[in-house]
Amino acid sequence: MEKSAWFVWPFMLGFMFALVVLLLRYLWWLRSLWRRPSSRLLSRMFSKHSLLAVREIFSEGLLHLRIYKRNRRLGFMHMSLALGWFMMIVGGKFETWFHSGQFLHGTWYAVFFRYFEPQTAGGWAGTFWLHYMDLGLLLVLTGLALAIMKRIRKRILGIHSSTRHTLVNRVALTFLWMIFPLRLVAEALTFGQHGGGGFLTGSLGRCCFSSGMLAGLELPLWWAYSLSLGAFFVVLPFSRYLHIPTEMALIFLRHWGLRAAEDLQPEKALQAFEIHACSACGLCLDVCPAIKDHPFQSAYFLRALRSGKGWESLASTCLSCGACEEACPINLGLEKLRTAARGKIHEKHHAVYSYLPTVAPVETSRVDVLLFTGCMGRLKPATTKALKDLFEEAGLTWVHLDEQESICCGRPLSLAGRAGEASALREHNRNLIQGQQARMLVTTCPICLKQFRDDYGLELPVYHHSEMLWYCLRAGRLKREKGTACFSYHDPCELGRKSACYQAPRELLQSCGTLLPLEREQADALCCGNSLGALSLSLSERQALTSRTLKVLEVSGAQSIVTSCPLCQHNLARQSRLPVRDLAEVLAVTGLPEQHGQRTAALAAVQEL
Amino acid sequence: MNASEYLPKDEVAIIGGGPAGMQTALALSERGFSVRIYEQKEQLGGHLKGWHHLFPHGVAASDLLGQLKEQVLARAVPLHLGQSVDRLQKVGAGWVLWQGERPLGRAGVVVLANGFALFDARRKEEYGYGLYPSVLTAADLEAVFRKEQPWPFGSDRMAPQVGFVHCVGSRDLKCGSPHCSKLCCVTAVKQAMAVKSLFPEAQVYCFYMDLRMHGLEYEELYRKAQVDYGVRFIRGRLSEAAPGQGKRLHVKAEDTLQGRPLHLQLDMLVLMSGMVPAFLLEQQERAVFLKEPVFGSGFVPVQGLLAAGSVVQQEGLFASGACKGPATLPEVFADAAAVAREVEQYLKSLKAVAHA
Repeated sequence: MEKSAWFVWPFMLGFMFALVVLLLRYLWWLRSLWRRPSSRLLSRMFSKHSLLAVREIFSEGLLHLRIYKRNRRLGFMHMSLALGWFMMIVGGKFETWFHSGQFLHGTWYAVFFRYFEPQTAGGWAGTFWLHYMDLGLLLVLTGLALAIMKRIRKRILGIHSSTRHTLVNRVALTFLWMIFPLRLVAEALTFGQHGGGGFLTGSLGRCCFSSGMLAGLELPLWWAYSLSLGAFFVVLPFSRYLHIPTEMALIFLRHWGLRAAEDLQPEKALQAFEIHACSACGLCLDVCPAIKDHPFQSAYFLRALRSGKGWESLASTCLSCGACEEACPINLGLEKLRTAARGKIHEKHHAVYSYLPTVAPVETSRVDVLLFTGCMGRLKPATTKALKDLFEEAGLTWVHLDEQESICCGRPLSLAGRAGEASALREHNRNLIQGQQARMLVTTCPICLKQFRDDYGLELPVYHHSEMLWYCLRAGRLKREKGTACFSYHDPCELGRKSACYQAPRELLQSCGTLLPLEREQADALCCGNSLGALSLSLSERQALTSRTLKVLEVSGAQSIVTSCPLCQHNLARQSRLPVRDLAEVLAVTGLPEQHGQRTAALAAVQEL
Repeated sequence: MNASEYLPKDEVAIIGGGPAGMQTALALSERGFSVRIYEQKEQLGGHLKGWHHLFPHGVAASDLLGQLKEQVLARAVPLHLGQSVDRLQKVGAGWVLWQGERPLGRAGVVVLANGFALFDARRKEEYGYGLYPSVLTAADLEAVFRKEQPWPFGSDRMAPQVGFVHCVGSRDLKCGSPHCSKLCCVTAVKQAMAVKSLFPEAQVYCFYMDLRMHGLEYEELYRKAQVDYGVRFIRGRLSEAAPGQGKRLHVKAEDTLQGRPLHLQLDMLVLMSGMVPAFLLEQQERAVFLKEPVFGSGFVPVQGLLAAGSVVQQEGLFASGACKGPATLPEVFADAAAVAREVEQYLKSLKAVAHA
């Protein structure tokens, strides 16, 4: 190599360093797989799953379609940075191959190709590659301009919050931002001095850098370009830019059937890849209903897990509403990760539950519905009462499993990461439930619902009462007439985002009144401000959350707020100006006009009991 | 327009015709000022109207109210009953009082004496108020004592089981009421003793967090309730009330002194609903609005806690009695005298300025 070409060394050293560190880290993360390779993984590796992974890498790693769907400007920014860079890497390979007739070269050759071969006039094909490479560069520079704009005025990119970065990430960002403008200037200068070039670099060179006085600057500029590249690669494995290769690896591993562990292992298997695949794009910040200056959002939580410091408090302040998981463009299993982290916090805490009395089984009878109201149901007796009235009306028979004694479904324990205790509780409940002869299990609490559905493995179907009432309405067992009442409906996170039940409650409300549209609802709904997973968020912060949610719900025209989760109702009702009622309460008092008299008589009779 | 236009007539307008309003009116009238009372209800008396007898000596509430009314009538204080002031407009140094779009009158000084509201016990749904007929508030129980409302259990029940729940909507951050309503403790003691007097065989339980017997002779009353009346005081909150056997309620609580859970079947559960702000004072530069309170809004803020009643940020606006925060009757009466003195000083200083 000529002495003048020594400038490639900073890049080469940085690149090799990054490669070695990455390889070592990935091998370390996958250590358990080397010891005991899973046959499932191996069989999937050589199947269509790998092709599907490549397709996902293309649509998400390069085009960033999920971000684009949520926010076009932000999506374009990510796309132009990733796709532009990718175009240049691929183009560089083909260009050098085309030019030299040889496929393999030193990595540096393609990266600094313009310095070594400034006049690559090789007919129409050579011209094509010149313009193609310039297009790639232009795309990256556009993305870069947007990224800089995002740092200065985020509103332009349509976002309200962007991630606050740590020092190492800011250093990496600075080097990254320097790379492409330096490449542009270096190439333009070379073309200005020697002629040639594409539509961008060539034109810039001819108009600004053709003066002979600038010849001495050529080499220093290529040095600067190489240095910034090299420096970026040195920091890459220790910064958030590790997400670039890790996201691709994660997509492959997922398609090959690898699943995240239940317990916290931030440096092992799929969990390690998930934690390091986060680019801190900031989508989770904007959707988080929590107070913006309380940085427990997923981008920060994952960062804390990466550094191994401070993740405990971030894991336990979050209310687990699931909005970030819904918004995450790379579908990270954030809820599971948080639960795993909570489990780690409580690892050393051994609670004894033996002092609790055993619950006597309820007498067995053949009924339609086995009703379970849970711990929150005990604080909301009006809902239970209304639901039983509706069962009567629909001609259904029922047994109330936890009428006398409270039995916990196990979800609070599992949300707190105490999988063992939760499982013991579930086992006990499973026996109680299987001792009954019912056609279905109905719960008034979406928190219980999720636990029964996902973790119990019950033979009988499990419904939330809104779903059950909706079936009754559809089957004509309940009849309602549209009244004049106007409702706004709060989607509980456990029923909406986590159980995808949005339509049943809406259709029930529309059957007896008018449902008002809200600024944020369904998957974008805000959090009521409470959660069984809220282990340490302060009361005042939770109340601030509640009042923000109420502002959305108190739309003009609304006479009452309706929800279908006892915890949401409990929490909203304390602070709301409007009455907050459960769906069942609303339905129970809005009977058919001719039935109204009977209903009041029936209600009075119940009160007499 | 200047202040002197207001001074000769209607010097002081008092908003609220309860004990605080009446006593403040009397104190000012005795000092020679002309006073008017604006009361939103058709009758004077405020919450005192609803009481049967008063702690600690059991004086009939109607006697005290009668005396107060008599004095107000004797002094010929003009009364504007059924008029609810919702806005005060500053004009010159004085005020114009509004109800909606209707001006009600003018005054040099306004004294807010519109008291407090009771915490809506339905907000603690777990206690079942409004859901189970045997759950009452302390105010409902006074109505029962006054024979305006029946007992929630049958007349055949000679030994009813009765529970009182202290601190319902008081000292409860989650309900937005961080303050202590301070007279519910002794009210429950008084009511428990009254129930025992009427039903000597009754079992009466009081569920408390801690008992605050701060007034003269309250502690003695508490002791009497235990020793002479056999009222059982249980330190622990109620967790829930659910339908029990027959018309009874099944109540779950924890006795935190003995460290064991309690299950009781009660015939009547009385909730000691706390005192909460009756209105939200929204102060603007030349106007004051009396609005519906919102979650967490406080009582009327006054200048420092050692002064009597001039309202923060407003010249010529004073507050008297329980609109500033929970207060017992003796405290309200003492406060009325102090506020009257402060109003007098203010009016004198205004006259001195007008003179100069």
